[in-house]
Amino acid sequence: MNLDEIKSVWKEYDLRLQMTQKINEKIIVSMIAERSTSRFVKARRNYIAGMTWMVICLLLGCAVLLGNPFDYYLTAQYIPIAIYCFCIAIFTGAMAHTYICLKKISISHNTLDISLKKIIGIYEKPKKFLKYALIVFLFTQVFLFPLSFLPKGIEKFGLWLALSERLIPISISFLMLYTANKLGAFKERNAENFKADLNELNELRAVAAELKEN
Amino acid sequence: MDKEFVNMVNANRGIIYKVCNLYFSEEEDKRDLFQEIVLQLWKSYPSFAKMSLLSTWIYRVALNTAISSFRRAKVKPSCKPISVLEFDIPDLVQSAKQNERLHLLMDAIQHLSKVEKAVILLYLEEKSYEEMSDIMGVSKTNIGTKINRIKTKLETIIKSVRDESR
Repeated sequence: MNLDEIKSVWKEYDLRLQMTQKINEKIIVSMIAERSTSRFVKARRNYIAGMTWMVICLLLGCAVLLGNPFDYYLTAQYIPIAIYCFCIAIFTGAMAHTYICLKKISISHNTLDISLKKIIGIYEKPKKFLKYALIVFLFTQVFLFPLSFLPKGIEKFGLWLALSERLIPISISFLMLYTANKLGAFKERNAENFKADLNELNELRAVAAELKEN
Repeated sequence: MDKEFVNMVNANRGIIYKVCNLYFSEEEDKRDLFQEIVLQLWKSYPSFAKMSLLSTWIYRVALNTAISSFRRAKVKPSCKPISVLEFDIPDLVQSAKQNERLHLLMDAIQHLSKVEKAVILLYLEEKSYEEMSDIMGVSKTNIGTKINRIKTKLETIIKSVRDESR
């Protein structure tokens, strides 16, 4: 078969493809539905990974509280770690609650918009409370945790020198936190993605209705 | 715009079918790729500035999806809506085994690399070098060299495939 023959075979193939049946618009709506399902499955999987990580962090915090590896000798020095454990426990609980709620939802083509609204609701509900918990958690880790080593520093260098020495880890932590925030580490993307899906779905439903009318 | 999109996909479904048939032989894989291409087209449709031809833009999105994006994000969903499962990509190769020449050509194309498949598709679609370079994002000279190499390779493959089948 030479090149001219190849081209003629391809032309024939192309013509026959052009004559195939048109695609139903319902199929395009289904494609959005499938993407939501896949995103939903992925979101649930991420929650399991997140919860596992939180439990590890909580265990580490408890180990610090019980084992005292930093040789704290004042009760006040334990406060940042205690707040850390408390916040992590809250995050783990919130994640477990969201995961259980998400597990109860099943996405199907016919009920896609209702399911998406439910999912968005689950994400939005604890948002405010978790935002405050996150602020407390980050403030503790950036400012209070480095300050828990202050009593030792005061003994060694005196108040002002110890305070200025503590500014180094505080600045580093603050800079890391600032960069992470700028890079979008604290953004909740799942709810945004599902909202985009819902918008796309509503647009496609409108098209389908319009086509039916025509 | 939305109605326009559905009509546009339907008017150019042949291009998407050809890309799907060229890159995959399994029905499920073809369907997955088809969906991914339509989604990518839908996502980029608002930003399609009509600076280039509609078909050029469709070829670019479809081939880019087939070559890169789809390979990276091959996460298969756990379940599929019934309407998508009912949808079949017209193959015409498997269903027309009597068309030996088409079967032979498709068999030979399967031996080419992903990029070579894209180039040969555009060549067979009789796209100009300028359009090809616009779709593929490479220079016209590069396209010319590639085409010559692929044509020779394809002819050799066809010859050997035919010899094997005898």
